[in-house]
Amino acid sequence: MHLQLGSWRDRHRVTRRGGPAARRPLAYIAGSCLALLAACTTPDGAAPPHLTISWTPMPAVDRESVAEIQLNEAMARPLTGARLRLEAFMTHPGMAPVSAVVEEQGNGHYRARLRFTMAGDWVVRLQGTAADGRRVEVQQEVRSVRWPVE
Amino acid sequence: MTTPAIGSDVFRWPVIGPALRWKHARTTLQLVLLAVAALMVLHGLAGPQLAPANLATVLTWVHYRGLLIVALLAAGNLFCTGCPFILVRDAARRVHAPVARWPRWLRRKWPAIVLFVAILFVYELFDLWALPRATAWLVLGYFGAALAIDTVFAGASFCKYVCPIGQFNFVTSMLSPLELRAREPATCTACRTVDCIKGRRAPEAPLQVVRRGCELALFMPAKVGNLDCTFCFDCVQACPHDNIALAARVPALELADGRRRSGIGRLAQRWDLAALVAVFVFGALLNALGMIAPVYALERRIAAAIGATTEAPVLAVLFVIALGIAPAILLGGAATWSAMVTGSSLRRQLLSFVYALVPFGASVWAAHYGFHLLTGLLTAVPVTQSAVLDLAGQAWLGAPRWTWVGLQPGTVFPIQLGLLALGTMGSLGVTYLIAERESPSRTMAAAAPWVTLTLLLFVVAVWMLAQPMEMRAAGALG
Repeated sequence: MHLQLGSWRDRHRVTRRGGPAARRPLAYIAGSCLALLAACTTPDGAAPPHLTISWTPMPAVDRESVAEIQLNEAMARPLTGARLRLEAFMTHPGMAPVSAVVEEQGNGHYRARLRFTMAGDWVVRLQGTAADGRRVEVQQEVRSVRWPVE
Repeated sequence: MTTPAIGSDVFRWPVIGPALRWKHARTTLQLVLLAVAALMVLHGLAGPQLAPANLATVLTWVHYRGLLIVALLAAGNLFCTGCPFILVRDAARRVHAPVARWPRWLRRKWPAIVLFVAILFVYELFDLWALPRATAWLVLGYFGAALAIDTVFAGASFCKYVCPIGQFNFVTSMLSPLELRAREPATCTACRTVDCIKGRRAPEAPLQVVRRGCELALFMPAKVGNLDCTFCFDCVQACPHDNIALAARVPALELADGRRRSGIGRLAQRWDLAALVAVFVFGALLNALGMIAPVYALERRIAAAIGATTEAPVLAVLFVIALGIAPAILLGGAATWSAMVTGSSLRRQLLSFVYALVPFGASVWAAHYGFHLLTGLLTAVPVTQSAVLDLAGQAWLGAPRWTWVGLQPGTVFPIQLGLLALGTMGSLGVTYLIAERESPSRTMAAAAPWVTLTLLLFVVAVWMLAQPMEMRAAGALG
């Protein structure tokens, strides 16, 4: 079939009705997004506590490890009396997280027992409330969790 | 060209048909996806930088990829239909209409192939799945690229020549069970206005286009299959004769169709399309390879061999092997073998038979992305609850239920095997059809090398799926 399709520009130029009014929705959407983004990026308050975790034994798939957690605030002052929960996520989204009960041992020292379910990189997240009501949220990577060597 | 039976035209189904043909159907779908994209970007930039708890990473790398391939294999290129980049582009074109044409020397898939490989490389190098902010910037980058290109160049230059997701969709949509095609070819033959490609004109002003025609230069009477079709339905809206059907068809059959295609030409004459298919197939294996434990040992060996201390050169070597050397040897070997037994040219064999690997490649993508979708399907719930808490400061949707995940990984393995087997059988079937077309007298001899290659790739894919997964956000070198 041989057809005269006219000039290329004619074929692809779509005439729009409306002038500046037609541009308003775009401006509203862009403005709203910027406003929401600005609202969500308020600066954090106090610095989060410093988190140190030591594992016994080293984390391995399907083996319980004990996490010895030390939480210190500024000037190495122990964060005591916090009510915390621990969740561990794989760095890849969409995988099942694991959680553990966190028990306070005193002097900023907490303990949790955790069983990782898959090989790979994990992130351990501690969330909760400090004794003075402040929200506490800290996280730490646990890299290369592997199957235990028999 | 065959005329679809009435029952196989989805546009004539009750409810679904009128909904799809509604002139604002695409815009509505685009607005929904734009809203989702906006939330993802916001949460990615401003939310917690913990991938499993962020909408940007969860929806992009778990849900979007999985649902994309499900939609392609179950229906058609619906994610291009609802593409929010194009909605924003169309809005921007109201302000700044493009006047230039995409450069002639770039009217091939090479730019998109380079970007496709680049995205795969960056994904592995920087572990994008673990980076909410980077994922949000990637989404914004797509919006920016679509805007920048399509406000300068008219038509659908971004979709046809640049967008890596679009190319992935185009290749996979060759397996889709639905395609847009002319309902009655005789109506097209008699048509003198060809609105499906020129656009519908205002009767009072013939130079004004009020409903645009196909921006990807697919002229409906000569359109073959789904390649390059974004399912935008512009042609459906523009056709004054209501002569376009969303027709059911045999998936993958178009891979063996040697006819000249409108806006594309013959598949067997396009090196760029062959390269795109090769990247699609071997990229599927490479992308899945990145998730299993043995790849880290391989990376360490490569690092030791080249004396590298960072991941980039190691990954580059891996990519050159997987997307350059391996395809060259395997495809070149199969083409040489079939050329020898048929007396045809190596080029002809390669450019004809490479398309037979598309079903296998799609099955590897489906097995990989399907795994993440099935094992993480319900994670959309807790991450949305968490996002509301992050963005609004109130748990309006309740506390995040992080235990909502999906199927156990082990239960997905049989589904993955089934997908691979289906894809492999599809590839074998298409191989036979192409061999029959290319060498009617020596069909089995011509097909043998490609059957061997398909089975070899199937074994490799099964081996990969059977390996222990090791989802690591850090390469072998840390």
